[in-house]
Amino acid sequence: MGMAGRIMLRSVKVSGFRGFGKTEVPFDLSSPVVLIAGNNRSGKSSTLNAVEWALYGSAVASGTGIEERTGWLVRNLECDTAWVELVLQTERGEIVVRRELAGGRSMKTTLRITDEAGVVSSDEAFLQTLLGMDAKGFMSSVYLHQEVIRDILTTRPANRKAALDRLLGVDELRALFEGLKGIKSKEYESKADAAFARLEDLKMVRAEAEQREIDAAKQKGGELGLENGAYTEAGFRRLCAEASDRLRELAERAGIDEAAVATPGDSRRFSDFNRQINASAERLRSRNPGAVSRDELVRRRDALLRAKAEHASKLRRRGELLNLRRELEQKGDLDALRAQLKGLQQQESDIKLELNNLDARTGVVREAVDFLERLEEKEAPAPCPVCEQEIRPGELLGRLRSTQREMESSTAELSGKLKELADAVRRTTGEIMALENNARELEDAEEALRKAEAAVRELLAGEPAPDADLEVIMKRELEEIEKDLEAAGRILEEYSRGISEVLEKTERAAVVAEVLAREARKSEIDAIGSTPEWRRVEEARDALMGEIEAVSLVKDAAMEVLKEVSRDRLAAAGGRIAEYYRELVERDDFDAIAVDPDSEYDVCAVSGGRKVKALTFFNQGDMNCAAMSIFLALGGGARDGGPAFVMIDDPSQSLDSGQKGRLARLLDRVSADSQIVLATMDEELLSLLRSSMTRNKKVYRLGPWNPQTGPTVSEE
Amino acid sequence: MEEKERIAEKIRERAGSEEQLSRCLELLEAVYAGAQQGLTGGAAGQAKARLDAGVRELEQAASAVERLIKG
Repeated sequence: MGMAGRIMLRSVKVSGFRGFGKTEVPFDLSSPVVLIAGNNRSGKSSTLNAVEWALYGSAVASGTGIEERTGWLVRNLECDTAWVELVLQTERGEIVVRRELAGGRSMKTTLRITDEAGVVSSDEAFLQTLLGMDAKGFMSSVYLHQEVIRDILTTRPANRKAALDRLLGVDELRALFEGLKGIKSKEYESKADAAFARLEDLKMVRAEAEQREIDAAKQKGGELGLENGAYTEAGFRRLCAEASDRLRELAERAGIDEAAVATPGDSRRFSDFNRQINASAERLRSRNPGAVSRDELVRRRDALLRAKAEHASKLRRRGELLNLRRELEQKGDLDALRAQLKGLQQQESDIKLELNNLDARTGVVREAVDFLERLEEKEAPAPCPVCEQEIRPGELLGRLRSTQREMESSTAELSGKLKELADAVRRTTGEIMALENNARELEDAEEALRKAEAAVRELLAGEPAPDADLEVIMKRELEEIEKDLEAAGRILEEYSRGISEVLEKTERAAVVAEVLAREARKSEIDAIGSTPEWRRVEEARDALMGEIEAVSLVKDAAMEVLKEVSRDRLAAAGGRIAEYYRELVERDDFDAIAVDPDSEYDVCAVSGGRKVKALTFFNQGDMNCAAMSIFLALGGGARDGGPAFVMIDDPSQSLDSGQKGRLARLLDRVSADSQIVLATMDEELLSLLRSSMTRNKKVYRLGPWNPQTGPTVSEE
Repeated sequence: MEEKERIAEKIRERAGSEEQLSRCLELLEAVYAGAQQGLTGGAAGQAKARLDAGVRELEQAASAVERLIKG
């Protein structure tokens, strides 16, 4: 294979990185073999780690799955910064990679790459491309450490497969195949099927629903008198035309100016027609002549009845007052009574005057009697006070007493007459007042009656003669109104019936329109399979199925190529693996090992035609030797396109002295194709390597270590 | 790259039609790009993205038909 033209290590400088102190420690790696010796915790592994960190940074900790790297401390806590500067040698010159972790509390890693032409960048991908592998690949096929050995011989097939894939350089192909294999094609097929099934179900459900609606509409149509053959566009238009014509006829008969509703061209325009017909029918209904006439007649009848009642009431009142007057006038009319009253009052006055005279004379007589009686008591004659003649009282007293009695009798009689006259005057006065009241009331009643008559005359048709009997005329007119009302009712009924006919025809047209619309809808649903939209679904389904098939086809092809490449590379390296193994292990029973590409890379011990899984009986030393044989035969410089160096950390674990000697010789052989950087604490191995390895060697010994200064480094 | 070409060759041998071949080669390019980026998840991610896009396309087309059926 050779190292010409491939990436090699030139030097590395370390400061503050893991076990190293602040002081910069340079390592010259330009020799074919570099050995780093030292005790445990002296910084040997940190030197190798510095190379991997410079190349891959934190990807080593996060992307390789190597337990030792998980959460590892990059920076020596005694130092503010950690940096590694690695120089790689390519056929075009040197590439300087410097990675630094700095920044106080918020530590940040920076990468600076200076390529062969002096161009500076910080592109992580540049290094991966340069080395032809990612961090995992590097940690499996360039850097031999205990985890690689464990993975190669692990009982866990996935780990072994991953480790061998990386050694064989098919990890990318494996990832591709595993990725495609992990795709659940069935789920996608189910999604495609489900989408179609959903559409088919929906189609069926909707078509059935439309059919149910059609049946229900036809049943309703049957109840409305529609024949089975009526559900056509022609039938629909006929019904609409009939409704429109009937409406126009009603409008014309009623003398209403109503625009005709145009018959729709097809059932899809029914909704406009329906709205117009209903609006037109409503207008005709509100302007219905029968209704107008009836309302007017009712209004007139009610007014006339009210006026008639008012007139009758006033008439009755007048009659009552006239009757009263007649009754009052039985004793004489007002003039007679007034004359009578006057006579009575005159008599009363005469009698009063007569009584006054009588009273005056009665007084004189009484005084004369009193005088005479006093004279009589004296029994002596006395002169008259007037004429002074001697008076003889006996005879005169008798005559005067008789006169006095007569006068008393006359007074009593006159007083009786006066009382009777007073009664008559009072009675007559009352009768006069009653007649006067009656006259006033009668006058009012006459006025009210005149007004009532005027109101009646105003309501009555024509102009009744002044002497007409309004009651009779009103009765006749009310009878006429009743007849007119009957006629108006008939018109109204006929008109309403006409409008109902229009609306019934419209309703039938609505049913026909609904049936036609639903039949059209159902036809659309039935024919959905021939629409461009459905074809797009089929195309999308075909495309998806094609993609699923493509995944399967690419996956199968990738699997075959993966197997072929693995088999080819294992076949190509098989001789070397066996050879290396033979050089490392001296077993009589199994003189070779082989990796089986068909059984998940089982490592088998081989003897003649016999193959046995090595894991079942190899001891730890044999296992380590087998793993190192595989690693050295496939990794590092042996790997196509990979870097021409390997880093080996502490390879002599579980090896006996013989195996160590054979390992030293094998590594000498490997160093023909790969630069070797090896760290060991095993002085025996170091000695064997020094003595066995024929190429130029540089040996670094790492001495006592402290956190501040790191290890002491000396070159031997 | 050599492996990719070998896979493409196998696909060419097996593809039943030009359309299928074209689709497979397109997928191969996509998953290879994915695999180079992020191992298993990358390759699967690319293929799944294509399948998911196909499902979305189908569902969109199906939705259009559903709207037609529902009126």
